[in-house]
Amino acid sequence: MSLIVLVDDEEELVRELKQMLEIQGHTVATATEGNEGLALILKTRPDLVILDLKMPGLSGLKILEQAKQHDPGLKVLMLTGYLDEDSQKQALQLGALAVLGKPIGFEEFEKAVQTALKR
Amino acid sequence: MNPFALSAYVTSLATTLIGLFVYLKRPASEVNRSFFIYSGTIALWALLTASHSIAGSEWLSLYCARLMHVAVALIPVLFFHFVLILLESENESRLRLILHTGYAMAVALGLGCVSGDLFVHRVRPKLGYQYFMDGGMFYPLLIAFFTLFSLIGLLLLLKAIRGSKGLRKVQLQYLFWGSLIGYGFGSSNFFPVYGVTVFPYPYGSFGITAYVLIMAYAVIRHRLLDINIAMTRTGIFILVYLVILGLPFGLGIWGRLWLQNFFGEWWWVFPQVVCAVTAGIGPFLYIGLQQKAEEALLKHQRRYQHTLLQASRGMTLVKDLDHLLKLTVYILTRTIRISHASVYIFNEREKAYQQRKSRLLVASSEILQFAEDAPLVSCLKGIHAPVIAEEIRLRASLEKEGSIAPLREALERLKAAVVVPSFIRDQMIGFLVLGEKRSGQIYTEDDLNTLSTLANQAALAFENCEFIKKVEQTQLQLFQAAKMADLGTMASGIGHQINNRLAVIKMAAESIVRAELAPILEVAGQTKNEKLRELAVKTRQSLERISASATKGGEVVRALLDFSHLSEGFQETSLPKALEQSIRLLEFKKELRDIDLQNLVPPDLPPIWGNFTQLEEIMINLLDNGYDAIKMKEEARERGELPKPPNSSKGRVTVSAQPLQRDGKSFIELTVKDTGIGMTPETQKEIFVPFFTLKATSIKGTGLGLYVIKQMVLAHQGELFFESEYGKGTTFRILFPTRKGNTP
Repeated sequence: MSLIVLVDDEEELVRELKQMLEIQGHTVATATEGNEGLALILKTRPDLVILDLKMPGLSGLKILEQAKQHDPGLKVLMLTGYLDEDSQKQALQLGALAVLGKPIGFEEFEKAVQTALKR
Repeated sequence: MNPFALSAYVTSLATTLIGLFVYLKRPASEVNRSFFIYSGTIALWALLTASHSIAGSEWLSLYCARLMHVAVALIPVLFFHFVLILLESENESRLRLILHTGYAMAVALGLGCVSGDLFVHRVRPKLGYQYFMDGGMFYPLLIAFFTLFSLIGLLLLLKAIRGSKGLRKVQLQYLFWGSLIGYGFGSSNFFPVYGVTVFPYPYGSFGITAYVLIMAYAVIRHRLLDINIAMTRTGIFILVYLVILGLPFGLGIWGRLWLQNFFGEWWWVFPQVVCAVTAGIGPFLYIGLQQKAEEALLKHQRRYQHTLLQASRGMTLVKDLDHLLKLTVYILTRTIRISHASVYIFNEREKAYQQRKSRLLVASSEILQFAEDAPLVSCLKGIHAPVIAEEIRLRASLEKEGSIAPLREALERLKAAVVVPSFIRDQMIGFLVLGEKRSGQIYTEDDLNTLSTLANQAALAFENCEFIKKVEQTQLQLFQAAKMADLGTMASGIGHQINNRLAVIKMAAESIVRAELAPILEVAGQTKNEKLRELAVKTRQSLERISASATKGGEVVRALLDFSHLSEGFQETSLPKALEQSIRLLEFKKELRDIDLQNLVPPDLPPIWGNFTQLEEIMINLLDNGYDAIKMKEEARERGELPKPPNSSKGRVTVSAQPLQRDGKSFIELTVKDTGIGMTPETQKEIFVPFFTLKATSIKGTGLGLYVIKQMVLAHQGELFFESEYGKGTTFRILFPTRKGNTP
């Protein structure tokens, strides 16, 4: 089963998402701070990364940039509370597979993860 | 040429000139005509007197002498007649009688003079003249008549002076004193007839010239110096210059011998030096004495002028406009004892001068406001100086045409004695209306200068107050804007926080459904536990509702975040999208179900060149106003101000848009139409003024909406139109350019 790294500064949300992903059989590693998250990504070799855009420490976009540099084939999904057009464009340009908006439903999330993993 | 003849010729010329001048000033006026005839007769007499004294032949001299006495007889009667007309008492029966008697006697005497030698006996060489007349038997009669009648005239004047006041009084005083001097000195011309050569002979006629000069001054200057001041000034002037010129002259004439002893040939230098010195200090001496004298005379007046100036300086410290106006009228009525005072200030919006403060004047509707083009206003603007009611009255009575009449009427309605304008640079921002002084005295030149200063200081103080008010308003606006900006930044952070919470709620709810309920349902199915299954289903439904709610919440936050995230700059913007957002945002503010909101904007509308946030702002404001208008109409119907139709449906706001071509340029025309309360023509003039709002406190409005919209439309290089009818509704139309630089 796949290794997913989840980085979001909202602890409760991270817990929920982790629980949900684990039910589906994935292994989940989490971080709630930017730098921590990047280190985690670089250390492990996740099949999928789920990143929040806005975070303390390193921002989601920065993490995306650096992670992609390290591993261009890395699959990344962005999560965000604010669908700002500019940030969206930037994220997609930097190589994110999709930008998902919060709040997000179970089904939608599940589908997005599956699609991402299949690519 | 002898001094006697010289003075007489000068007199003749002077009187002719002033007679002509007065006549030509107003040929139609009876007063002017009468004065002309009077002056002419004096001129004639002077001419003949002079000629008779230098005539070469006896016959000519006698002829002149006899003829001139016809004039002598007529002069006092003409003077009397002139005074009567001036005082408008020609119709008083007693005076008419005197007048007619006078004429009769004058004619009789005149005839007597030219025929026979009862009056003018003969001419012979005497007193150094080639020929000079001798008086006949009845000559004293003529002298008596002349003296008597001139005295009657002067007495009449004196009586009139006592009974008059103000400018009129001063004018009459000038006439009186002038005539007195003229007749007084002029009668010295009788002296040589009896060989008397006492002063003022032979220069007596100059007294008449003096009279002419006095009259000239009185006629030319509308605003006369107080006669006391005039006489004082003249007196001091004569005194000072007698010293200045007299001293060196005297030295030269009487001290010559003595000086020649001392200085020999150069004796004349000494008087010259003295002359230079006295001429140098002369002016200072004059001014010094004049000031001292006038200070004594005008002590009373100067005091209140001083008060006035002090007050006017203190005015600029007053910040509150109402207080300032009250202060102004109070100072005027209390301190300088004017019967009443009112302040009028120009109102930009109404384009009229409105009475803002008044003390001790009974208000009547017709004097509360003056239009920009009212006669009083135009006059003030034209002459840029105070208007004196008495002068206007005088001019109105002398000029038979009606142009002055409306001005006079206005002044009468105001019961004004003086109206003082207030100017800031070249604009008249208002004026002061002042009643008579309680003391009954006239407003002198000094007074008017002081009042003008006061008025202009008041204007400055007024500008000060207005400026402060504007600054306060601008500050309010700035605070509001700053608050909004703060809110914007906060909104972003708050939005994120809320979104995160909602995400958790949604995830958690759906997680339960998947992770816990699914197995429970399975167990229920397997054990065929209907009750358990029912409970599980119900639980699942609740959780699904929770999840749906969380999603909706997310949309709300997103809309808010979109709005607070101000997009900068201009680009291709979708009007339908902006409209959608605006409607969504408006739903937070208003209960949109109460109205029928129709969105007829086609979703495939071509984009406009604009700013998304500003577009949202424009539409939110228009929709908001439409909603409020409908509410206000409902309220008006409740109150009975508007009729209630039998089947009233909900108020409707319709939004539509379409492309439009104009002058070869393409626009998108946005139309927002409501069936609300509409606007009256007066309101329509005001709606784009900041802080103007009709919304009662039930629907709170800052009044900035339409003003801001207008600015934004202008920033988009667009145009804004509207139509409205009170009771029916309003339609706003905005044209937006579709391309950059597409200026309409």
